[in-house]
Amino acid sequence: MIVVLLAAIALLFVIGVPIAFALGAGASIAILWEGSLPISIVAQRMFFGLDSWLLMAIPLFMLAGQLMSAGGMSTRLVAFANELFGFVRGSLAIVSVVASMVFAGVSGSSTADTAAVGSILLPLMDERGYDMRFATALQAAAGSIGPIIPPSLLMILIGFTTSTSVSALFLGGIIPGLLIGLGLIVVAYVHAVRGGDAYLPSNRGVSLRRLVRTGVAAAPALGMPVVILVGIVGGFFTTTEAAVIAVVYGLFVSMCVYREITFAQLPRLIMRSAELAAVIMFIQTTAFLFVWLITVHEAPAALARFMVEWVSGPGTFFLLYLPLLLLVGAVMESFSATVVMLPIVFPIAQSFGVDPVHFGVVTTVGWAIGYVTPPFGATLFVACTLSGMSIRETTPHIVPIVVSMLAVLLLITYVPAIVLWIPSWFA
Amino acid sequence: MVLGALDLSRFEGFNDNPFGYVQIGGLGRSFGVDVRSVAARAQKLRFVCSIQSRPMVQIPTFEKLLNPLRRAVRAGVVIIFSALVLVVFAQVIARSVFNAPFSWSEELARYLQVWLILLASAACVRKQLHLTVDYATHILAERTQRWLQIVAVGAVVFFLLVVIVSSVSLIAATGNQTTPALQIPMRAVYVALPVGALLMLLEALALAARLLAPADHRVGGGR
Repeated sequence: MIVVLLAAIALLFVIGVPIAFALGAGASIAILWEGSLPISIVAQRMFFGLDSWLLMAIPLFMLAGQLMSAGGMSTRLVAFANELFGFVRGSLAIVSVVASMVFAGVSGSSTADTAAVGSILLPLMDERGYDMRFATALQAAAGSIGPIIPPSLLMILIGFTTSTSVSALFLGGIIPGLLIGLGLIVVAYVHAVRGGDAYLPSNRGVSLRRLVRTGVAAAPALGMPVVILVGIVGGFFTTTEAAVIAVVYGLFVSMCVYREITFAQLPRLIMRSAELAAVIMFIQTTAFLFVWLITVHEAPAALARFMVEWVSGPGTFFLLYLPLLLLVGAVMESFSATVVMLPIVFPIAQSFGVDPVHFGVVTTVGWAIGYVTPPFGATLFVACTLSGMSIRETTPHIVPIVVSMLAVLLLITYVPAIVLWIPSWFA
Repeated sequence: MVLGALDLSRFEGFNDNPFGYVQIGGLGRSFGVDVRSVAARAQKLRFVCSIQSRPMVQIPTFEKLLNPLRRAVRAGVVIIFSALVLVVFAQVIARSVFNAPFSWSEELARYLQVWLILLASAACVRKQLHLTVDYATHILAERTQRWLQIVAVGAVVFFLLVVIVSSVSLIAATGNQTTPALQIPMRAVYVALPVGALLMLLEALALAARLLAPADHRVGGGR
């Protein structure tokens, strides 16, 4: 039956059936083929996939992100970051990384992060004469920090799929996210030093007055990640409650403080967030059925017995897992890859003694690299759309950026303490 | 994922005209939008694209019948999502400020979410936002691609029919069960599945009708 299931799904993927429906149709075919299971199992598993309090954080954070991008937070964050780093060579590129990192703490999605910051900074960099092939690649990578620094929609789904604490994953992502940002800043600075006059600093020195002024304007946006993190970590509210607080906070700031969203615009923002969330959640729903079939037939256990020949512990497990992670990340979208792959791989990882939080954070960073690498790079595509560059032109400039991200991935994989240090304070 | 959706957001306002679709190079997204504006943009980005638009007269009745339903779905999504936010927020306030947690709020929110996702998913079928792996299909000839797309819609229809049959049998088996906290009939929650699946089914059929309608003109792509 597993063979029928996998063959059906592969065929449906290839002829272009949307992932969610291919998983559902494949599972339906397998159930009808076997004939011993009641048909109502399809509806039942799907319902359980939707009926989740934890996953509710996904539509809510999605709405919060939409509100904050449309409500003027990103503009003010960029202005503030520009006052902080404007005196450095290649300042706009560095600002794009820093602003993306801060916005990552506000929104949970990589593409929202890329669009929010890139739509402001890419045109500015173009105007100054930056090499746009590099700028596009850099912005794509900066946006991919979105799901690594909390909050993170991807980590919510990973936590749900692997029954791992989402707040521990959130905390574990902080240092890796900062490290990736630091790596990108170094790459951007090296590029700027070797570039021409276009990369001269945008400000002469730091003006304390302007710094304070833009800082005050950006304060409501900067306060957001603090509220969310303190709330979740301090045990004041759950991930889902934090998400609703982010929505209310976003509504308040964008409607009452910045006054950039009117009441009439809300239905459109709500509808768009619901659609974006439905795409993720519907895949998760049908994947719930698929994964249930896979585990009922003990496929992960069989695979683990097979792997035991080569794998002796976490070290060798990751040696096999990292290439798989990067390959799947390059060709597949991260949310579908998570719900399809992790239920199979995670039990194996656990049987070799890998820490669940470490596993989740490594996976997140691996998917983040996948956002930047063609052919299927979600943030790369957004950045290309914003700058008007083609993916082909941008590709050579992705290499140094991906190398810096890979270095961080290897570091956090083989020094688990980097990931587990902050979560251990709260254990 | 959000890729397609974000992309669409840039062409907002055109979403209400589903009579045409655009296939953009290696990314092979196709969606109902104003074809000329997307074509111009795609060519500027140097993507290979093929654009097919179909005259509005070809598919009027089915679309016309669907339109009130679509408005209702949209209104439903907006109302349910707003209610969801209010319920969860009220729960946070009740628990942390008044120290008097509700017994029903979490359950209500979960059931609202079931309805929300299934309704919004129908809108995603219409706009073709559901993610697709399409490296294999975009290299084929346009004609073959179109037929494969129709086969793909067939698979979607098959799955949705299974969902409808399956959820009807689930509802029949549920009887008069009520939910633990709210004491509302479980059927009122489960019925979201056949309703959502039926709406998606109608949108999938509308999509098939658009694909089957003869092309009146085609615009070649750039590069």
